[in-house]
This record gives sequence, C-alpha cells and structure tokens, in this order.
Amino acid sequence: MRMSEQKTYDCKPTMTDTEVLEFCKNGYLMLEGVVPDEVNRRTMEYCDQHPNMEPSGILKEDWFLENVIVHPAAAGAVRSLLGANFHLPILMSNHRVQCPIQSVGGWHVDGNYHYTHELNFLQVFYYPQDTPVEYGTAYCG
Amino acid sequence: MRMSEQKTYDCKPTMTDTEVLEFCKNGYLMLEGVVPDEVNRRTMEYCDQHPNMEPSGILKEDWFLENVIVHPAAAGAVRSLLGANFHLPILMSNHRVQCPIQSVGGWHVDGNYHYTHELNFLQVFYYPQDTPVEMGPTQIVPGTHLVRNKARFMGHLANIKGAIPTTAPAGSIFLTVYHIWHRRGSSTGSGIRNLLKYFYWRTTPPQRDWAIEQDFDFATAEYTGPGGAYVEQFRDTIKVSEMFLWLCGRHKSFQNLGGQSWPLPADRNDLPYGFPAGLPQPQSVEL
Repeated sequence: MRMSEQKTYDCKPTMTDTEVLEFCKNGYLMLEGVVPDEVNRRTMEYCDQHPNMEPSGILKEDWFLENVIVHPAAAGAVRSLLGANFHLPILMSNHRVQCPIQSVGGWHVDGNYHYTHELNFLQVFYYPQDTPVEYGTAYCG
Repeated sequence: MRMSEQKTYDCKPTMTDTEVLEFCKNGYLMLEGVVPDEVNRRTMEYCDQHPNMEPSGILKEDWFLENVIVHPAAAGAVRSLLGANFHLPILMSNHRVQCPIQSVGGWHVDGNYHYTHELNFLQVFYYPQDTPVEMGPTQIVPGTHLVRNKARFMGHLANIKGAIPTTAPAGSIFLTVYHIWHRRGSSTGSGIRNLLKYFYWRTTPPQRDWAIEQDFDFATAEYTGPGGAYVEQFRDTIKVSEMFLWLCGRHKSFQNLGGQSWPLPADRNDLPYGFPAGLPQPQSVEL
C-alpha cells in the first residue's frame, strides 16, 4: 500500500517518561532541523506552486509523507503521545506570509478548543525554511 | 371538521436540506408577501375592531386560519422544521403600536427561553400591512439564537453590527427561533402598525423528512453562519451542526472532537476526522 493510501500509522515510540512529562508541562516539543535539506527544498517549491492557505494535496505526495509526516523523530513523538495507530493528517494549512510585517498578531487560541487533561490530537508545525526571529516566528500564527 | 376545530395540522414539507441548514444558521426565515391582499385587509379590519394585545379570537376564524396560519408556504416551512402533525397556535399577540415612536426598543430575548439545540416550537410573525423601516419593524440579529445571554445583559447595547430590520411588504410571514435577539425599531412614519405573533409546536420526534437533496453532503456542508461574528471562533459552527443533526433525528451520533475535526470548514483530502458515524453520504438513500 502506498503511504498516501494509509489512514493510520504506527512506529516505535521515542519519548521517555521524562520527555512525556516535559511535554505535559510545556505544551510543546521542538524537533530542530530533522527534515533533510532536499525535502525542505522540495516542500518550498510545492508551496510556491500551491500558494493557497490549505494545500492539502501535499498529503497525497509520498515523498512528503515519508520524509515529514512520518519522519522517525516526529512520528516517534506522535506515537509516544497519541498511542499506536494514530490517524494521519487529512488537512494541511500553510501560514504563508510576505515579510516584513510590522505588526504583531494578537494572542489567541484557535477555535474549537477543549480545555481538558486529555490529549487526543496534536497540532504540528513544520518550517521548511530557516526561520529566525526576523521572519516572524510564531509564538503561534 | 372545521379548520378552527383542529388542534394539529399536517401538510407536505417545503424546505430542502440546504434551507433547513440555513434556518439553523440564521435563526429565522422570511416569506415575503405570501398572504393575499384581501386577507391582509380583512386582518387589518379585525385588528382595528380588536385592538387589544392578545386578539386570540382571530384563531377561531376559518378565513384567517386557512389563509395565514396554514398558508401553504408558511405551513410547509413549519412542517419542515417541526415535523408532522404540528400543533396549531392557540394564542395570538399583536405588537400594535402607534407610529411614530422616536425611541428604539432595547435588545432582548423574550423570557422563558431555553438555549438549546432542540427546536420544539417556532415563533412566527405576520405583517398584514406594508412595514417599511419607517414603520419600525422588529429588528433581529441573525445567528444570535446561538449566543447565550440574558435579556438584562443586552438591553444596554446600541447598534449591533449585523442586525437587520425585518422590513417586509404586506402579507409577509417570518419564522424565528424563539431566543433570537430582537428589539422594536424606531419609526418615523404615521399610523398604526400591526405585527401579529403566534407559535406552532412540535408533536413528533425530529426526523429528516423534509425535501431531501440527494447530493447533500453532511461532511462538507457549510455549518458556519452569521452567529460566528459574536462568539468564540467556530462555536457557532458546532452549534449549527448539532441543531441540524438534531432536526435530522441524528443527535445521538453528534460529536465534536475538538481542533480541526468535523464540522469545521476546511479543504480536506478525506472524510473529516470525527465525522459522526452513520450519517448518509451523497447519493445514498437514508433509511
């Protein structure tokens, strides 16, 4: 079965008790520079060719799925936090902006939040390009 | 049996899936100028002869019942939203005022409201006369039937962005969810303005027995309406979908898993995560 035909995925969990607890404390986990340059470059090209806000077609691309969505470091963390056979993404959003932007966004949480002790899904971000503070890194946005 | 002896009524539903969903989003439906002029004129005469606030005797008049209360357009909409054998009105109110009135009423919801996804009764208004903005038609805020608030916490509000005057030609009927925010408009015209108000009641459990659209897709339908302007992001989307599924008789399968799950609008490449089990898909026949 092609990767893009899979609805769920499983792999070896990579996080330890301490790391899971840290995630519970912080609410986020950063995996720096894990995706290879070639994939980042290809992703940038895809985004240039599909500059819309929801380029979900990239989730039909096996090269993207294999190297980003189920990248061992990312998928291992997801497997640790969401358990076995987690559901793969079906919607891709791109917070694509033209820099510079002088103003800063307003603090917010996205809608349809449920404040709960349960963790049934994860919101994940991928930077395909170097994103120093000069590029308006998200606190989330 | 004379019409005035009937307690319930049934007829063919007239609304489609999309129209029912629009009602869930907006909280009202306007049927413009559906009642014939002769009936409007006769109603005006009745109101002049019975200028009290509750002229319920008009509900014993077969000519009024047949041409207003069970008018095919109105009754067809009521049948769509409240189901078969809905209960007919037993109380008539007349918001009869002498225009002009300089002041505008305070925003409110009428008392004994139940903020709920259930729709067990409808509040219906009938304008027997032309009611342009000069005659101070009721103003409503579309979508606010989804915005829980107390009347005394909205009365101080002035102009609300998105509010509309229900201006309408004579013979117009409009249906509302009871707890939609509303107020009396100010008026600059002269004369009496009548606005008749009455209720229909559900007697059967909800089910999707209106005019079904074979290509209606529960997964991709747009559940976001004007109420989104007043609540936390997507809260109205969730409430609209819950109300719609309840009307479909599918409330047991309703779920919202949070985040980007169904029914949030998005360009997904698969069935939305959290899509309720058992909902019909396009082209399928609902059992």
